[in-house]
Amino acid sequence: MFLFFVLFGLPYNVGELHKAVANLIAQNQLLLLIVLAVWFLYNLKCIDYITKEIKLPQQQFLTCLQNIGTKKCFGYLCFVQFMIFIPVIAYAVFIIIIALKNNAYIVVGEIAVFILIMLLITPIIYVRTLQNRLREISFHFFTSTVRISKTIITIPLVYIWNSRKQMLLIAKFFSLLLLLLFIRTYEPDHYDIRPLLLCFLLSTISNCAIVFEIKSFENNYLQLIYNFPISLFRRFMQLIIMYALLLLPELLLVWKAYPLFFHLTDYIQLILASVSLLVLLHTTLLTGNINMDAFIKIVFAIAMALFFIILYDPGIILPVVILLIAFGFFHAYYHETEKT
Amino acid sequence: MLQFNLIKKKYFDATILSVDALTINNGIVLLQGENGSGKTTLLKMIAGLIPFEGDIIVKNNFSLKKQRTAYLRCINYAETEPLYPGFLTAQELIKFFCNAKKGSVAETETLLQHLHIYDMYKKPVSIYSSGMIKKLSIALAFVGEPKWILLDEPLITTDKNAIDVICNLIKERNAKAATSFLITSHQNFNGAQLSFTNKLLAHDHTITTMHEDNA
Repeated sequence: MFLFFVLFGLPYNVGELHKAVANLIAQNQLLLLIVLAVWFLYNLKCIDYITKEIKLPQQQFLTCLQNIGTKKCFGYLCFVQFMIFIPVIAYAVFIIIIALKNNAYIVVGEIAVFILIMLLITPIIYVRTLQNRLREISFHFFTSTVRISKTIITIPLVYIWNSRKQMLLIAKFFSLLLLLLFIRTYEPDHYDIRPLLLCFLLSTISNCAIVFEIKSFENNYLQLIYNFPISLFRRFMQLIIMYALLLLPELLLVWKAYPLFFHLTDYIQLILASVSLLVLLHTTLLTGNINMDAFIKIVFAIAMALFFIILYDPGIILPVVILLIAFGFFHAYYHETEKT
Repeated sequence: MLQFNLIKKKYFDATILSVDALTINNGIVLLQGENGSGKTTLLKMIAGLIPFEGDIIVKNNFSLKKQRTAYLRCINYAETEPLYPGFLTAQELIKFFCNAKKGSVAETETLLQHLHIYDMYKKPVSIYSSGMIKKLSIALAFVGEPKWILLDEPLITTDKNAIDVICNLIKERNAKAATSFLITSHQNFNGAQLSFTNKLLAHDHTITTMHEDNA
């Protein structure tokens, strides 16, 4: 969403910008590799979404597709994949045209083969999901060796690790990459926490899809915790600890920026700001029946507001205020369970 | 004792349940009514799972709205169709519940043995049958020292032997710990299985006392 906004919304002359980008891709193998990797990640996200949808109990009627035969079923799902992949195909055709103009025939071949593989392999995964023959991608090397105590704090995180691995890995990949690139490339001429704080908040926001999944999981499977004798304040603290654990990789990686980008005293601000932001996003989901589209808009609005507020260097006051607002939402809506 | 004060539950503009004043005395209480009459809604309201207007007081002391934490220590609940995260084992769920409800893991393990699901204790609940999940949810409702245990259709999906075991557990807990039960069921209990101190009827968007004998 962010990349789409930056690439198609911000530039003054969108056509010229994309021509230049396509020219660069056609001439640089490394850049082409990055583009193909991004398309591949997009396809993984689509596969995750479609297979998840197929497995929903209300989609059980789709098993009747097995009666029409595997070939015909594969044909239908090829069409589905084509429709899903249209944005990528359109951009790929655009790059291919530019590459042909540059006589970069190898690039043309590489893109065409990549698109064909994506269009033909993916429907096989959907067919096998329909036939219940798809084995889950497993990461037993971790789950079998580490036994995590299942508490109210860790259960949602274990759920994300068990059932939303792709989402978790992609979110963490983008989040950590962003942070790492910033630390490696930005050279501050004087001490200022704000650039790192802005980057860190952007990195934190990459976890917003995980926040949405955690809330959905709570709605579906953890309704009974409303019957537990836990005070509102304690439950809020559990939420803070849970998101601090989720952000542990970012909070550890940011030490690479020490002491050039931040002082020890500012580290508390980084922790509080990032954790309070995720807690705020979680509590906004308590206010009503918010779907993913609406949630993305909320995230975007909060990110924009924070961007300008951070420029004024509010210091520790900002995360404290965010936490207070989050607690306000929590206090007002936590027991309004039916709204979510 | 459970006291209901000016209870009203609405979904959108439709009133589902309205109880001006009602007291349910301690004991084993049966709540009956047609489908959609508000039985499960009432149980969920008492268990603090869904919001509503008015207040419920337990033990003459604790109000759901004013002393929620103390109130919820007195109330346990087992759903009609319990849904637990599939990756958790019964062992982990029991630890989770015992930690929250201050209950004994060993006692709950004994309950699972009585209900013949202890051999699946360390297996994830995703591989349990619906009957086994139902038994597990009933065992979890017995965790801790609640004053009231709310059982929503405890006999559905359970086998005949388990029904006898569940009825015995209810009688035993009521006799030993003076724990009261509010049970909804469409199945008829015979007197030997379980006798009720009070019967309530959910009808016409309200709850009324059907019959009472001082058993």
